[in-house]
Amino acid sequence: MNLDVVPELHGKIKVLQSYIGSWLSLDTLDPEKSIAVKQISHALGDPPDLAHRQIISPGSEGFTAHLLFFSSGVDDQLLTQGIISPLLKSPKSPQDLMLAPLSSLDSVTKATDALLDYKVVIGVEGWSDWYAADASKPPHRAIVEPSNAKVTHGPHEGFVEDLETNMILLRKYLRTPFVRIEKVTLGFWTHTAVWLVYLEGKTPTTVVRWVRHRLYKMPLQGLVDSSRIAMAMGGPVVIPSLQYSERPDQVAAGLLAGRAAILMNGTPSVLLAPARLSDLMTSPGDYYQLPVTASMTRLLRYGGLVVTTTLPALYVAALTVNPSFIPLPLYLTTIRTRLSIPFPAIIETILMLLVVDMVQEAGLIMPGVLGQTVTVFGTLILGDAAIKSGIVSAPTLITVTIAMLAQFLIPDANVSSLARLIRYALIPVAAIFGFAGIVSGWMMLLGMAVRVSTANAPYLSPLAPIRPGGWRDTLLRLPTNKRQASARNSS
Amino acid sequence: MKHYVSLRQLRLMQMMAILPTTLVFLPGQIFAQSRSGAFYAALLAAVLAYAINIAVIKSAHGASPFRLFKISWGKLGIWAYSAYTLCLLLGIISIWNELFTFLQASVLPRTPPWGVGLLIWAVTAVVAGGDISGLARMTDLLTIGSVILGLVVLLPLLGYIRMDNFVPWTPSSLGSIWQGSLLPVTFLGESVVGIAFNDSVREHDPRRRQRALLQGTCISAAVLVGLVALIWGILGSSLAGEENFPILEAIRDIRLSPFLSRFDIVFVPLWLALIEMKLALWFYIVVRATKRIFRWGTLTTWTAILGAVTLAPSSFAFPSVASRVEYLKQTWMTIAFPILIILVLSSGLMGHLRKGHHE
Repeated sequence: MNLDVVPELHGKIKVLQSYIGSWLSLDTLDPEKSIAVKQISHALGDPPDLAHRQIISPGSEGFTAHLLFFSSGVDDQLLTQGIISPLLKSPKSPQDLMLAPLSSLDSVTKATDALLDYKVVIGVEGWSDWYAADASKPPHRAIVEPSNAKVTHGPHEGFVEDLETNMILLRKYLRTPFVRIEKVTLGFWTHTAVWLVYLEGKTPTTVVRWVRHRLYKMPLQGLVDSSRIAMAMGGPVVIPSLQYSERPDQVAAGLLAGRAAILMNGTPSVLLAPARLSDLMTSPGDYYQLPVTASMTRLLRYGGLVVTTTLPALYVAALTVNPSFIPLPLYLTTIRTRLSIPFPAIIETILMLLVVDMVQEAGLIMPGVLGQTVTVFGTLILGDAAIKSGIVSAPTLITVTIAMLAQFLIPDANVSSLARLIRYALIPVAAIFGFAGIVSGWMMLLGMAVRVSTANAPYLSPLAPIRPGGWRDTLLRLPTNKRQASARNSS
Repeated sequence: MKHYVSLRQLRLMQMMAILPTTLVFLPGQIFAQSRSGAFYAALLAAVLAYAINIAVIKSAHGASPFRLFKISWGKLGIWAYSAYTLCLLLGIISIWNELFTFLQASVLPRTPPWGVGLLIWAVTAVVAGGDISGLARMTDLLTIGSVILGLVVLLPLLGYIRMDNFVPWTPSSLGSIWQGSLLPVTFLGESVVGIAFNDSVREHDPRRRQRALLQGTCISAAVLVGLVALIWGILGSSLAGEENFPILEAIRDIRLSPFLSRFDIVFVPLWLALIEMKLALWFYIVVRATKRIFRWGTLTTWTAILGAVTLAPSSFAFPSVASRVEYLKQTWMTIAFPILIILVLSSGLMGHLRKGHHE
């Protein structure tokens, strides 16, 4: 028998024992407060950051109170003035503490849960129950504009890692009593608070039901980021079917458009459902620009999606299978530059794409200035050296660079990654079958995408199925009054 | 009330089941047969096709053959059903032939047809596997693409029309017009395929379904007549009669600038996508029927099997463009299409008689 298994098993049995004890109400707190303190501390594994303060009142003989809390998670001022000072006056009953909210605790599980919520657990000798006082002040960062969704005009606030702060940020935009919140706790180990937020009368019931159904049945062990929720909610592996947002204005706009939001404690990324391709290709900044310029930006973005996925494949197809399709002068120039290149076009293009992807990833991982240095070194110096040494041809580098630049036009990180995958997938097909391969590759991709629906919303709508008027805020962004007129006409 | 597809989508799917052939294959055949009378042959084909489609669609009473054969033919329904499926399979071989002819003749000479066939077979399996709503959405996408790219190609083409090409036709031989219209009639009469989609819109009013199908056919007929007139004006009837794909030849003549010398780069991908869509639509019907006959398999499995079965003869059995075109004429025009028409019309007749008998 492997002895290493024994401690593992021991741990699992302890967890099971704790849960069964809680379920059968066998983990009651000892009436002797000092023993109960040990019970609570032991249940948490005697953590070093758990503070235990014993208060003996000078005025009243025999008055002893026990305070348990995580020192870094409580508000010191509230603790001193709201809890310790009243306790020093030897109150007769919990009502004399005048602390609100004050909840009573009768089991070890409830006490540990309260502590993990950064509450102060209070036990006074002579009182029957223990009490939890909310003096929590967990550390969190300041509200700043999210670095991945900056806008020139418009609000510059971003979500933070605290769920309640995020909800307040959202309520700033939605001053209506019809905001509905459904709470759910997810993750066996993490007990993470997740809120389903929607607007009553605006979000279709089908959408709420769809999200609720998936949220409540989520078999998650632990939850550290909302991306786990997105993955656990199902849908195709490669096609992003939920939208991430770190901007309160974007989420508020999503709720106003009849979508549902999923907020999770501990992450600034809020999920919006349903998400169609057109939603993922929309940037919050579009609504803070003039309609004409916003429409042009959107067209550029869709063009960028096509270019970044297809341009390298077109280049390979034109050089290998269908040279007659590109103008003769361009073909001759390209061929002339490639005469000394040792690799065939497909290998050369894939190698260059891999190198540029590596540089891009390295630039993202490296901190600040170092990341920029890596990018500059990787792109300028390496590219120049590769051309001069005759390993890579200039047209290949130009093609790859344009494809990479076009990728940055895509506002959603998941769609951007998907575009990268499509780019790699199309190149071999283009090298074997030429233009026919590229067309067929796209047909296959679209054939798969049209099957996808999230919360009854077809992924490619309003283009497929065509919803007349829907394109006014899809490929283009018409002025609001025209969109409303169109909606009135279609209704 | 749940609609699988809308009437608009039914109309577009009916159109999409015909359009790729209308765009590329039919004009050349009409000009080859009728020369200067091609425009009148196209008009005649449109009128005849309209009449046939009305008869076919009315016979179906707004129901698809899937239900129609079962109700009208009783125990013989399964045989009628099998015959219907077999004829559509012959039609699919014709579509493969049409595609390979296009590839082999002029467009993508360096890609082996069987290679492209394999690729398209996989695409068809994916697209047809998306069921009726997936097909309808793909049709929507391709319609948008067709309109945009069609305009991009059409607008420059208008500048190449030469009025002296419109030589008046002297009625020397009415037979040539009749000959030229026969093949287009069989293609424009493909509501025998479109009515199969009636199952997906069964919650709509039967009359509205019939109207939608007819409108889909009419759009394709209008496109054919317009296209023949356009080619007539650009190439002239003699030159157009020499070409298998005159529209492609006309598009190649477009010279916007020395740089943009190959305008067909816009048209060829569009046509390829359209023919893949057409194949997927046809496969969907055949596969559903086959699945029902054998009571086994999934849409994707049967698409794969029947795709392989039809791809093999098209890839290897016909070595030349001429033999492919000959097969298409002989099999589709003289065997498969008449049988399909007879089957659907007699279904309608039997249904009518039974209804009268019960009354």
